[in-house]
Amino acid sequence: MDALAKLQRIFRDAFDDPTLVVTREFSMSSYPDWDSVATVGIVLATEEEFGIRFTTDEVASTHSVADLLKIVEARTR
Amino acid sequence: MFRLHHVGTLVADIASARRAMVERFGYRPWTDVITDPVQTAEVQFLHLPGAAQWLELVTPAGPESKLSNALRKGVTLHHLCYEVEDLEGALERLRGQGMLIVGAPAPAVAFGGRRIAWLADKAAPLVELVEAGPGPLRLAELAVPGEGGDRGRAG
Repeated sequence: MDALAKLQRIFRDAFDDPTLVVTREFSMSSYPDWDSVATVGIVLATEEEFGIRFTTDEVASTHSVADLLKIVEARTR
Repeated sequence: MFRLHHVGTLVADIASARRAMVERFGYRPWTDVITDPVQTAEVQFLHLPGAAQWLELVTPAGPESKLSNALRKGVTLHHLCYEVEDLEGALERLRGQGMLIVGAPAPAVAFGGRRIAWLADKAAPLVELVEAGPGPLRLAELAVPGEGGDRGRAG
C-alpha cells in the first residue's frame, strides 16, 4: 500500500467516512470538516502509521494531503 | 510535576460570563481583562475563594481569532493549564506520551512574560503549560495561607 492509500485510510477513520476519496489536493480549504482539531488526530495517526515524528512547525503548516505526503516522503525515503 | 493552574473556558462575552460566575458561584475577578495578541484572545482570570487554582474566561479578540472557529462549534471547556518548573522537559515528556505540541513556547502577557506552550491529543480539551517563576498569577500566591484564598484583585 503506498503512502497516499495509507493516508486515505487515516482520513476515512478521522472523518468516519468509509467512502472518502483523498488526493494530494485534498485540503482544509476544500474540506470544511478538516479543522485544527482534526489535524491533531490526523498527524498523530500519520506518525503512528509511518513511524515518524512531526516537528511543531510541521504540525502548524499541515493544511493538505500534499503537506503530509511531503513530510512522510522526506522521512521514509 | 504538573500543578493544575487554571481551567480555561471559552465564552462569547467576558463581561456577561464574569457576571454569571460571580453572581451564581461567588467567583471574584482576579485580573482585569487582558488582551493577548499572540493568542488572539482576550482573557480574564477569576478566583473562587479557597480554591487552589483560577478560572480563565477566554474570548476571541476579533473575528479572525483562531478561537472563533471553536466558539462557533460550541466548545466551552477549552483547556486545562498546568504550571511546571521545567517547560521544555514537560513538553518532551508529554510529546513522548503521544501528545502533539501545537503551540511552541512563547511569552504570555497574562503571566508577565512567563512562557506558555500548548499541546493536544485526540481528546479535548487542550493542555496549556505555563512555566513557574516570578510574575503575576503564580500558583504560590494561592498556596500561602491568608495571602490569596479569599480575595479578588480586579473589578
